[in-house]
Amino acid sequence: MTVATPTASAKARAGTDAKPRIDMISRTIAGVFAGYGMSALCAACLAVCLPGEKADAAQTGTLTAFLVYTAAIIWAYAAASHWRAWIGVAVPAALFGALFLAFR
Amino acid sequence: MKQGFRQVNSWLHGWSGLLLGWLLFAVFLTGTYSFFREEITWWMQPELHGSVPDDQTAERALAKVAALAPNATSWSVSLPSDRNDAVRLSWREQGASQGGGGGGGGGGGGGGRGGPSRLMDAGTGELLTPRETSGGEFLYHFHYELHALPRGWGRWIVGIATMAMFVAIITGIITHKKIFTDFFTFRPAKGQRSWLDGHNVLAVLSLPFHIMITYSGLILLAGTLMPWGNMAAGIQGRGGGGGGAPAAQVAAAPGGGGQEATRGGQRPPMMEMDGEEEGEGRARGGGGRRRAEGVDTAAPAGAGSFAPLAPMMAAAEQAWGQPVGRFTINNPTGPKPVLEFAPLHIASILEGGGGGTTRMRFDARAGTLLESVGTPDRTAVRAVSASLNSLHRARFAEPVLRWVFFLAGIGGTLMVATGLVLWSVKRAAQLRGADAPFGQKLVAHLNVGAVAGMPVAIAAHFWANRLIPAGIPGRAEWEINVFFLVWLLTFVHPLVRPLKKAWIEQLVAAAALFCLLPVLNGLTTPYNLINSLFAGRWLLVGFDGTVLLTGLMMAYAAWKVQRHQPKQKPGRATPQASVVTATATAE
Amino acid sequence: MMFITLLMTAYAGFVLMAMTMDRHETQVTKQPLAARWRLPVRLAGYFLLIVSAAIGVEGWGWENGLILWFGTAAISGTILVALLTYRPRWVLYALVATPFTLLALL
Repeated sequence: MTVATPTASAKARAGTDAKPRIDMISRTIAGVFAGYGMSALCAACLAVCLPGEKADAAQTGTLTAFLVYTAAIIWAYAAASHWRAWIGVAVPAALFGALFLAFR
Repeated sequence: MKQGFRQVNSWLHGWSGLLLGWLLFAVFLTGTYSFFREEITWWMQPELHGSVPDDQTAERALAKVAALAPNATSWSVSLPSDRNDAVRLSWREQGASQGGGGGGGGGGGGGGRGGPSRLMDAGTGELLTPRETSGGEFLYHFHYELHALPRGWGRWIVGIATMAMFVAIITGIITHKKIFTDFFTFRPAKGQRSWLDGHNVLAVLSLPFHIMITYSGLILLAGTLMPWGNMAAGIQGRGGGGGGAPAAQVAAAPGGGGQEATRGGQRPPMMEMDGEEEGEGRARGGGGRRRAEGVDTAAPAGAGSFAPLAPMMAAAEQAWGQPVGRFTINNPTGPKPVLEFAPLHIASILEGGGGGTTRMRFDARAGTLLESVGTPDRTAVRAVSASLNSLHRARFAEPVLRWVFFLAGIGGTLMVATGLVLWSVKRAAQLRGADAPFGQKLVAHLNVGAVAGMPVAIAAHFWANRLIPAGIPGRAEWEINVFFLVWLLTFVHPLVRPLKKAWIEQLVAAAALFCLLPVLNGLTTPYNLINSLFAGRWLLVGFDGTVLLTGLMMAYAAWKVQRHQPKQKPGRATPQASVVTATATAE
Repeated sequence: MMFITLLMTAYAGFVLMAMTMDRHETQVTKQPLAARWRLPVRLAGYFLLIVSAAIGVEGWGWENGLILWFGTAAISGTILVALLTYRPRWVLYALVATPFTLLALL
């Protein structure tokens, strides 16, 4: 690829070969897998928190979850470091999870 | 952070697109095909082609179903439409379960909504027994659950590809910064530049379509991919009893002819789709209740004692602005049979996903209007998801919209294809003539089978439909086998041929198969393009015309590849690299 | 017929937009537009796109009309791209035909 990849930029910073791969794997896990968990929590949270009919709340949650998941994936690769990528996924996940438990 | 947000997105766009690109191409192409699956299934049952509707068709159908099942608790007739010229009669015997689903009945083109059903010639009233075929339903099911995989797996795989597509679209928008200044820009014969321009134009011009079709695809698969909202709310799918899960396993839908196959029990139990079945189920359930009150005092009466259908149908048509698609007589032998009309297409895109549809009910003997049910009120979120459902499945009243969607689908398919080729071309350009690494060569070669091979396989599926003898057992399976065998061949073929030759040969094969399909049809059935044109059989003309045009486009693409001479950079380009760039002006 | 009108109106809107774009301003007409004409022409282009959406809604209702409009706009855009690339002079001929399709509608 002509454009710099996150891997390449991390390489420039770290100066070693092993770390960029870990950076990449970490981001992928954060975005694709943890991001999915986060959006699932988002769906569950909206389903129980939103007022109105349950079916509607659940549907709103589902409709939103896919947008949130997309944002999470993009965020995971765009964040300045893979630590920040994780924070960006974990904090909303904790928030959604807490709200879900509180309103369940 | 050293690189821009845009670069990250460009990188993510390339990889999310490439990793699942072949699958996305297949999903896009079969999805585009599925906009016409009912027409295709009808074409694949030439035994039905003699059926020409007239204004007596409805009465004829009612008399026939009454004669076939005099003691049934309900009779249904699916009338010919702009998508199917035959009539489907179905009925429900006393004591038959009211549950949804039901197996795909074999023999006489059964299936449908669980009860017995037969196909009828709209003009003569004769019963028709079409050949067993995998029909348009096969690739329709392939479109969202692939084939021969456990259903959940297929949906997960397609779902992941859809998610990657959605990410690719969003990152593509972010990456393509000059989205508006490049709006109309296409610079041909400039290698990579041209591919990128083409990719951008195809993406940007129908961006609303791409976003809609991908997002709604995700929502349609949400029952598999994202069930957590419903689970948290304690909802077990919207379908309730509607289910019909076992039927969906019969992906091939043997003999599942016209409208029933698209509306009836073979519908897979997607979250949204279940709801629809529930809607149908309720209409049926109503019939059941009426039977309960009517049966005791039943005073059997012949079909002749029903009010003439034409005035009632005219009233319904006037109220809806579209023809009647189907009618049902509940409790036909009881004292107060009720005749229910349903419009041919959904009355509003808000009716997608079930929860009540437009109906009109008449007293079947007196011919008086009992009630007219319109599109129910929807909450905002239900309106959104119902619309997404209708849009994705192109359930409109307007044939012109179906064609527009078909074109947009082709645009999307070409967008994925240009993206795939772009990936190879870009890498080949970066090599500056050096020998490509094995993986890269492999991708470039497999691209041929993934992109040009699928149309070849689709055409082969049509050929198999006409050439496999009509009577042999397991015929539908053989059609499917031919499809996969040919597709497999198109992946092997480029491995033993030079890349440019492989592209040309496969495109020529697709062109020949598609262009000769009307000829084959003329030879194997009584109807050829010329006589259907003069007889005004637009369904047949439409199919033949579309495959002919497809064939010509394929031939044009083959010609462009053949004629293309890559610009040689002296002393640099090796044959391999130039061959890879040779694909650059295909299309 | 109404579909043709819809298609042509959207096409005309796109042509006017293209005439104000750096990359296309000398493709449609030999001389680029004078700077003071750019904004009005572009606005006229947007206006025609809105008109074409109105034609869609008028002919096919809110739902189907707007859906059809999106699709038709994509088709006319594709036609314009093809003409700009291969037959730039035809862009204007096609533009001239648009008012006639509008008249035919009335």
